[in-house]
Amino acid sequence: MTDSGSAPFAAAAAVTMPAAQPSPTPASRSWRQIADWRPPAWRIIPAIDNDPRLIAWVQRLPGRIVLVFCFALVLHSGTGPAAAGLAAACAYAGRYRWHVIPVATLVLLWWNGFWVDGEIVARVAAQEGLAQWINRPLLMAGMLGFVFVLFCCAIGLWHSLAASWIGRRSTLVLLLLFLTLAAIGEAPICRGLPRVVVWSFLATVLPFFWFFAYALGDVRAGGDPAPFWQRLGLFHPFWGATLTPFGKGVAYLRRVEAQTPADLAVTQLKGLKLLLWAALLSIVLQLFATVAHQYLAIPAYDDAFARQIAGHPYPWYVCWLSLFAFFADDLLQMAAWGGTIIACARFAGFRLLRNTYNPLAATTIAEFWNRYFFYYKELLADHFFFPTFFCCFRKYRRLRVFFATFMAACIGNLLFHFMRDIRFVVEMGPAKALIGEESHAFYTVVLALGIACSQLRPRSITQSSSSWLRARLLPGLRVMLFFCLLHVFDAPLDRVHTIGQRMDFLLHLFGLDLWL
Amino acid sequence: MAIEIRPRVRLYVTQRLRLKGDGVGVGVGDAEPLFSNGRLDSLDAVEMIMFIEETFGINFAEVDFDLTRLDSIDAVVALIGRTHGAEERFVHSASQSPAAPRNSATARE
Repeated sequence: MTDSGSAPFAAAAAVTMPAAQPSPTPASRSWRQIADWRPPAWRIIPAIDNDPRLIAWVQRLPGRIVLVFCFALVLHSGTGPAAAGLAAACAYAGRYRWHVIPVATLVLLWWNGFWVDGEIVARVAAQEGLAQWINRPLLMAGMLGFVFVLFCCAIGLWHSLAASWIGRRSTLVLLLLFLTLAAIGEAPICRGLPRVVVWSFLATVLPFFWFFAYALGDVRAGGDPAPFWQRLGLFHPFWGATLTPFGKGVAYLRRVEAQTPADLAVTQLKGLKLLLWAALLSIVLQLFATVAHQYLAIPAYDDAFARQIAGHPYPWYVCWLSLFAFFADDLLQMAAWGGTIIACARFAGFRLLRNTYNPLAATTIAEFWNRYFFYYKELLADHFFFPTFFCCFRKYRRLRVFFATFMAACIGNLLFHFMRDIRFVVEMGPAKALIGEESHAFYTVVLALGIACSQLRPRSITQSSSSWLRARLLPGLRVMLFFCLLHVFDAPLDRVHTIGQRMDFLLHLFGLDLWL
Repeated sequence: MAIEIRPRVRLYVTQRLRLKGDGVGVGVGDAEPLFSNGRLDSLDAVEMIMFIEETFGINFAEVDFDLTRLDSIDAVVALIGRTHGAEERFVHSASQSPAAPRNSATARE
């Protein structure tokens, strides 16, 4: 991959006319040389997507065979080879591409048990004393069928509701329905079989919730008359996803779909390039883990945190090393995992943007947030930021941005994780599950304030033209430090550790626990 | 006073791209994607929305927002034109800038 920092930076610098400077002394000249130093632009993986001969060759049959073989070879783990085959089928299906996607998705969904958390259903059935009376696989299969019929009906119905108040607030309606059902599932009146059915429904809806939200959003926008089965075909598409949709919905994918054989060849070569990058990052991740944790004996973050709680903390500098190692590990994992998913989507013919893109080049908190987990940030922007931004404080420019950012990065973020970990409500009870969110709530508040403040700080062309050290490196280090420290409040992301325990760890990092 | 939509939008987009350090911002084509190829992101979308609201008086809450409507200079001009109809304050001008080369997308691709 390129070090993309230098070229755009140079271009930006060229935009601003430098002011006349007095001739520098030797000392200031050497300092200027240090300050003006920029990392060299170089590539680890060659730009195969820019080679016209290669682009022409992979459009022919032998080239296609070699390309698919190479892609499947690199994507060798887990369902990789199957995904590579399905992506190739999708890519070369031409005008039938949108027919292949639902089939491919269904195959991998079947393979992965439709991502439904059966443990929730099992636990609720056990709590209600119905574990032996309920045929769980049958209940879950029936619920899955019911949920998908419901999705189809809702998508069909939304065409007529699109202009109404409800239709324009599809995400809000879905969130309210989901949380209301969760509350009903824990209400004293809901006991026995009804409770099992409610939680079975929620467990089945949950993996597809945000895909459904994007589908309703697309229907509301009305730009794309895709049939419902094409929309359903993207619910956990075969190239991979978590609760966060990589590639959003049909409307977004249509915009990035390869239209010509040459376009497809370039997109697939970009996919292969990204996959190689992701594979390289996976190797770096393993090497890093070996060096950091085995040779240098830096404890895992969870271990350092557990020792702190137990009253036998590691020295503060070891805790710092542990935190930095955790941060680096997290970044590498995110880049490798997201890169593989995007590579697979590109191989299928969709030129999706990278999920993690050079986060270490970020010079502001908002930029890091944008570069770290792009599709999650997009989810929060699409479903929380923009709806708030258009409705609230329209006359107050800064307050408007601040409030919308807060709604997305704090409230949306919190809701997303509360829903993702809805099993805690069943395991711990609603009260403890809510109280257990305090630490993550603090995390999201600080994150939202950080993003909002960095968004509201004006950027200027002259600012981007100052030296690499001052304009890039130092702000970048500040941003990383911010996110490192923020990790204290969301790692491990559970409902057991209190905000007080995490604050103790933070104080220990600065050696303040001995003083207070 | 009449406001020429296209030159105004083009100038804004070019400035925005320069601000991000996008070296090819100077030669951005009117039909070239801005958001779907990663040259601009949702943070830029916010700024662009406020620019359009303040300059052309559009209320996005009534437009039924979708980022595709801002994905190119052509799309933005069409959105403003559709919303204002034949309003005299705003004047459409024909596309003048040549289409930018296909490979001008950012490295995020």
